[in-house]
Amino acid sequence: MTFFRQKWFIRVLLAVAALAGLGWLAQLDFDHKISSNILDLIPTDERSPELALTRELASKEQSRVALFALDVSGDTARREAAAEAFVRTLSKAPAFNEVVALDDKTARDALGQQVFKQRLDLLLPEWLETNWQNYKNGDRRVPWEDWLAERVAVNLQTFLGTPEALAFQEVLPADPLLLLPRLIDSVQGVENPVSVGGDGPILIWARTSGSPWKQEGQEPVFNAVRQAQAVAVAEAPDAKLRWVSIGRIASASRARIESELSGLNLLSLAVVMGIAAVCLRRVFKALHLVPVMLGSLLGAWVATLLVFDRVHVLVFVVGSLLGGVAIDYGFYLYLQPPAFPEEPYRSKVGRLIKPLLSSALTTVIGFSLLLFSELPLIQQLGVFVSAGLLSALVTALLWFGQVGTPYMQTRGFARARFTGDRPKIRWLAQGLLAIGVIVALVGPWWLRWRDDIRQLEIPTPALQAEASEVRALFGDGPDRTVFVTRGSDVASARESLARFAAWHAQEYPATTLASIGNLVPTQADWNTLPERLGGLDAFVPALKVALERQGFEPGAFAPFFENWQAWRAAPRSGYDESVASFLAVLRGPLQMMATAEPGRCCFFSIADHPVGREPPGDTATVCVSGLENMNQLFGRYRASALRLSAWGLGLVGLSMLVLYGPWRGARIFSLPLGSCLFAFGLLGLLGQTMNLFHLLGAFLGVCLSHNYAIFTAENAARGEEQPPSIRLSALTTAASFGILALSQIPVVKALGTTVALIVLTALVAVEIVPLAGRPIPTGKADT
Amino acid sequence: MIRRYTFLFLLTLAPGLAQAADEAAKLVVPGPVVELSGAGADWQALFESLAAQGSVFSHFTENRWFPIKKIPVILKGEMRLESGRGMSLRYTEPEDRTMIMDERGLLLRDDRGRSREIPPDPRSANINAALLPVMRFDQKELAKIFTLHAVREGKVWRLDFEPRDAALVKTIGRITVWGEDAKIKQLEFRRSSSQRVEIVIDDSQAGVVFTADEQKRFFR
Repeated sequence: MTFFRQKWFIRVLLAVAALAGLGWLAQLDFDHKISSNILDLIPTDERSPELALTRELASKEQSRVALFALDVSGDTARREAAAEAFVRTLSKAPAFNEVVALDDKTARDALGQQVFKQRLDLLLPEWLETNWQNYKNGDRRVPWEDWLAERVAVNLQTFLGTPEALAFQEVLPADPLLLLPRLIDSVQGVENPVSVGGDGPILIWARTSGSPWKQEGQEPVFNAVRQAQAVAVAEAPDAKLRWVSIGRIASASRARIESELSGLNLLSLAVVMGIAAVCLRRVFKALHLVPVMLGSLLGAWVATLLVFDRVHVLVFVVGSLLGGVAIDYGFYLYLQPPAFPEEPYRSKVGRLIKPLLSSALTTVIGFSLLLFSELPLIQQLGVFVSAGLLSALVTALLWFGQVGTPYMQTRGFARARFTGDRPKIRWLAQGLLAIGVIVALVGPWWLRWRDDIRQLEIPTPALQAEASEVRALFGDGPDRTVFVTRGSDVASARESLARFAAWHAQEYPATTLASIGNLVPTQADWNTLPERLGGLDAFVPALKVALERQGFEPGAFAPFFENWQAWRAAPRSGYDESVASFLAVLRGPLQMMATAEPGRCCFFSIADHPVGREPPGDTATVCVSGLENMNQLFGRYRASALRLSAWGLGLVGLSMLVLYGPWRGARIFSLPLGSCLFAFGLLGLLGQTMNLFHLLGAFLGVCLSHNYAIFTAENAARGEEQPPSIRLSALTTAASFGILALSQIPVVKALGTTVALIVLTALVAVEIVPLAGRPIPTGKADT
Repeated sequence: MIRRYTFLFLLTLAPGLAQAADEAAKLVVPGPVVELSGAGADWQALFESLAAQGSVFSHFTENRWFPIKKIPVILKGEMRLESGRGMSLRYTEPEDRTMIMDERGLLLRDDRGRSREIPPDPRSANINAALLPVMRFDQKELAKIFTLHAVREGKVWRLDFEPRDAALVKTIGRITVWGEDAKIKQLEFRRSSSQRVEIVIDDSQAGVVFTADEQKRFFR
């Protein structure tokens, strides 16, 4: 094939491929395909109950809560007018399903009335069973009814001597069994804002109608809040609003990620091109490297979006830096001088194809293993990088095939070599290597690992601070722990809650644990109730006598006796029905404390102590604040990624041994491995806390430095100096990943820092290892 | 229910008003209305001396009348009042319990050291706002919330605080304080004849200094 035909064949091929790729991308629904929801990073079939629960809760009502604190100065009338206007406007907006001012007693009163009404259904089963067990384990000399009546009267007498008694004096005539006072410990605190009245902020709780994770669910909420704020300001011009919702934080995070995505892309491209321009003789010729990067990115985008139904935006943020890696192949092909004048392109490719394929395919093999990771983000990154590198290689091979002179000279300083014939330089190189070895061997032992799902997002300090303030006003704080207990139905969740409460009482003996779930009887107690009641036919007269004996007015308890007789005579409803009618009255914030629907039930509990040990697995309970960082669970993903990386590296190392023989292969592989250990050692000695993304970065860095080792070894085998492409490639890669270190997303920063560090270490090693040995003979330059 | 519970807890804080203990000398009928902000010099001197007592330690006996009980329930205990830290009531009989009332709300500790915290409830803000000034004898705030009836015979006096807000009347009822010179001898919280709390001050020391251990144990 003549060069002319070859040129046009390649151009058409590249144009068709680019058009096909871009055309396919253009018809995609990017709102659907690209997600900024942090929970999409968690597998849908996650086996860990904690993560599964997080996914569940994120799609449920709990994620739709918005909390508002309206600060209005001045007299009560002015404050009330502003608050009323705010609540009214928000309530009218379709974006909100429910809006409740916290000084509105309706929901709480409704709960109180319902509990009172259902007290015998809900609270008697456990009370009666506990008493029966105590009676059964005693001497049983007194008949059961008399024993129980006497116990009720004595307990009532004791109760009147407690501070709580005054609070319940109006309830006691209907509740001498003290079913309601017993609830104080077990439900108090489920809805307990710390904000005081008076001049403090006005607190408003609301539930949005749309999903907070989607833009179409976020915008109407923001508009409604703006409108409500405007009417509040019209009533009181100095009114200030602070508020928090998941949607608000998610929207801000998405906006910042998108902004960072474009910013980092441009900066990366500019830096890579800048380095190329500085190091190359003819700057405009460096433009030949752009199609290689673009081809790489296009291939990566198409492959990733083709393989995955939904891809997290972080993949593109991280993957956009692939340009720095993809340019490797372009550099290597373009900067290699022809073996002889007028060397045909095919001949040049034939000469260089082995190192190119070795480096590309081994890296692809390594990254492909990430497909077996449990974490979608890692899977997606594996595909993105693998496809991107293959596309880069193919594009580079094709692109330079249609360039007239596929060779470009570097500037002199870019290929300048130090020599090791001066002892001082040799000692310096040996010293540096010795230090590097010490760091690589000692430093990794100092590494500490911790993963936090929140590091996957861009922190928004002002918004987070506002959120913390508002949550604190609503009662959230470091001295409080929220737990969630779940089950497949109410009965199983309630059983688990009982086990959890028993564990909690042992673990935190001097604290209280409040839960709406405590108002629900266990299925076991519910089932034994008829049998226990069967032995209480003469309970009423026995109780009257016992009350009289303890100095009470038995007649004052007429409401209880009437209720008791009526309740016993009435047909008994089913367990699920009774619980459902109770849960149905929960409104506003209280509604968030318990959810029951087919196949799923959750009870939230609030304890007045800081976060401590996680509850045991059989309680089906997790600490909600633990869910926020999920160190333990992400630690599992990290371990999985480490295993896969180890397998990947093993494969890469093995392929080196096969391709280059044991001794040479080991030498080649020692460069990336040593660079990685040095980078980890340095981070360890600097006290850096590592996470999953340092590990991923290390894997990427190892694969990149592995390229340099292969290219250096290939040139050495041909008796040539190391190619200048290594220096340029390492610099561009380090620069582009170094830019990631500027990212505001902690994990992206971790990734960039690690890759840049490993690549630079590899470059330094490539440069100084020859100096530390014997002097480098003056060889041919690439002129 | 919880709101009511919070409120009624506050009712039991009344012994904090006690600052002395002698034999109670009762005036059985409330006096005429006296303007808290513009009381005569005699009353003003009494109010100022009550407000300036400093830290106070008292023993007290509390008699509670319930409609369901034929005889009152009797509780005994110690009261500690410290400006800035609030008031602490340690009931020694019939059970050992401590109740602390301060700006952060209520805290209840049982004999096992188990604590229950009840932060100020915005829904009951009017009740908090009503009782705290009584505890401190804050004339300015008292004038906003209560109408005062006052009467004295020689050294013996009686103050009746009638809440201005009807809802507060229903929940708190009337607060009556009996005293002699600058010492409080008895208090009563009365919603009806069968629903009332009477607190008799057995002895009282004003201007005391609580040790660090006492502060840790009885305040927060």
